[in-house]
Amino acid sequence: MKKLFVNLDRCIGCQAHSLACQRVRHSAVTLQSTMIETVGTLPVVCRHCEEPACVAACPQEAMTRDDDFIVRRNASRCTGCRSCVLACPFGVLSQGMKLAMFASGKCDLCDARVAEGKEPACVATCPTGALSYEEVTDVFRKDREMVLGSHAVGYRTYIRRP
Amino acid sequence: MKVERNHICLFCSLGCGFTIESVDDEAVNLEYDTADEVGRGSLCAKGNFMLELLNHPERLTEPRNREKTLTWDKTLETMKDVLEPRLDRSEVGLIIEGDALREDISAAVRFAETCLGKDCCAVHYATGDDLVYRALLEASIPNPPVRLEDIERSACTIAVGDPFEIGPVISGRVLDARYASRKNILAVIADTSNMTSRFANLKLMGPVRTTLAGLLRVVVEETGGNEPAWKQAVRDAYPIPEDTIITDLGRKFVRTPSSFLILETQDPIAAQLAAAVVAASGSDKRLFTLGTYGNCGDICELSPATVTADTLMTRARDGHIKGFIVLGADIARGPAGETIGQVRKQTDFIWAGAPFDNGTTQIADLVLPTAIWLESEGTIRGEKRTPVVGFPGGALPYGEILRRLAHKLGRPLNGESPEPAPRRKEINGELIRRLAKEIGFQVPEPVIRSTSLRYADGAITDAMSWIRLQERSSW
Repeated sequence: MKKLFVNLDRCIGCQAHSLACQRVRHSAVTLQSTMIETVGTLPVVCRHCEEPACVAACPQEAMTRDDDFIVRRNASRCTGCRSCVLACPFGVLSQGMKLAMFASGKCDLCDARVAEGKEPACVATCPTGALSYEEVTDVFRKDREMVLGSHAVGYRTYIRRP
Repeated sequence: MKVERNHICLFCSLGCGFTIESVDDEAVNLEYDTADEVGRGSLCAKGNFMLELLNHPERLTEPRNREKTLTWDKTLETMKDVLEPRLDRSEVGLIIEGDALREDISAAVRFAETCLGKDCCAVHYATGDDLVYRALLEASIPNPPVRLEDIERSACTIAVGDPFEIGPVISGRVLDARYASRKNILAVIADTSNMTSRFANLKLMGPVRTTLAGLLRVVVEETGGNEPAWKQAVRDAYPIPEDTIITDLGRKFVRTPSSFLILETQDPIAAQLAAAVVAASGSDKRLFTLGTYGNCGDICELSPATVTADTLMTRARDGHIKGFIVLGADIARGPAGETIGQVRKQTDFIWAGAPFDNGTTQIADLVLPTAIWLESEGTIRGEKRTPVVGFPGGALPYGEILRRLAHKLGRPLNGESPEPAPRRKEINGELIRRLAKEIGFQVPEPVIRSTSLRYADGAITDAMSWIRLQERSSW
């Protein structure tokens, strides 16, 4: 299972991923940056949770978690009630609401691009390599090797999370 | 028919590549060019904006005067009637933006020489990048050309200013070098904390000129008596009490093979000092200049334009210049904003060519729609590039407008290239003395305001990483 990872050791807060997401999804931004007080600007990405609160909260069954472990939003079913926005514990879904007033934006991990053999737009554009789209086990293995081999020189390596 | 063409971003001097897909001459998609050696597929926020720039609904597509839109024939006739009595009298100033293609600048310079008169052409750089490049030309160092992939292998990188802010794509390579080993150094020399300094393990915050002067002294002392003239000049010029951190950094820079200095500044004196540091450190050291203008370095080497936009404004205020042709540059905003407002009353005409409406087009008598670099054929990064799409409507490249106008005036432009830049001088004691004199009265006493050395952070991170990893493995 591949997921989107953020390496905070490498994120410079350039917000290129936001524009890439906006461009690919025709102005319905699903991935934005959030200013963390006194720390910096970070990308806020959908975790595609195992038990998504947004799916449970949706009264129209517009939010679903598919067999490929991607949480999707069905645009034709969504009525813009914002239940998913309130339910999301990470504040990810609220990002897209400003532009799409009657439907919440939702990251689908650029499945159309991935099917063509490309990376998601945010990952492809990231100038520093802070965003990566990798197998979960690979990322954990790399982190473990980095720590055991004493190559971990970054400050925030330990908070790399999907 | 679907066509894919590679092109290069001109929003900073890195020049990242990308691919534009077009259908029936309309740009429909931007794709990341992973084969490009500079960006390797990544683009910053500015680069992602490229498609919108091509398809923007507010692009100017037709020439117009204050009342109505015109055809190009009618526009060129009007321009001819106005220019004909003023030919060769240096009464018309031509200002072209610095972010134009080299071919366009060359055409502008030749048009000014052929039709307008002497010293009438200015290349306008809003950020002052040209001053830095010209200073570096004067103080050039006998170095092989810089390859970006070498930055990844540099064990000691000094960044002057904030290169991550101007060219975010370079940050991936710098961070690769920074994180490759715990002993690697990324030092930042800047006035205040910035985007780059967040990732540095050595920060030298304070007056940039002073810090570089101190570094220069350390480097010259460290390299021994190879250059006696230099050594004496630097000793005389910078009586600086030795600072431990600067000394450490200077020694590390000299002793590390193939170390890099990345320069992002708008201060020509700081640029020359940085060049002197690299030149004094040894032949394997490299200087990489990161500017806001994509091809400023090329144009500064090639362009024989000697006057600046400010000089032309002053001459207009004195009554010597009666009109302006402004191509691309928005001289109604920024530092020269008041000046163009004042000289507007003293000039007979202002013609503005631009891809979008700006402050200058609003006060112009004639507005000429122009193409952007993605729509013109030209040389970027030393390669000939073909346009990704055609011109929108009646827009034309700057060079083509001037060529047509020259033809209309009966003085077609010759095909000669601009003269090559004068021979570069080597850095020597004379230059160091002059630099010292220039900065001496501005920054008399060098002070390092704050420093931080965070070598120990790696060990802390290791311990914390290990604890977190233990927690995570239970998932």
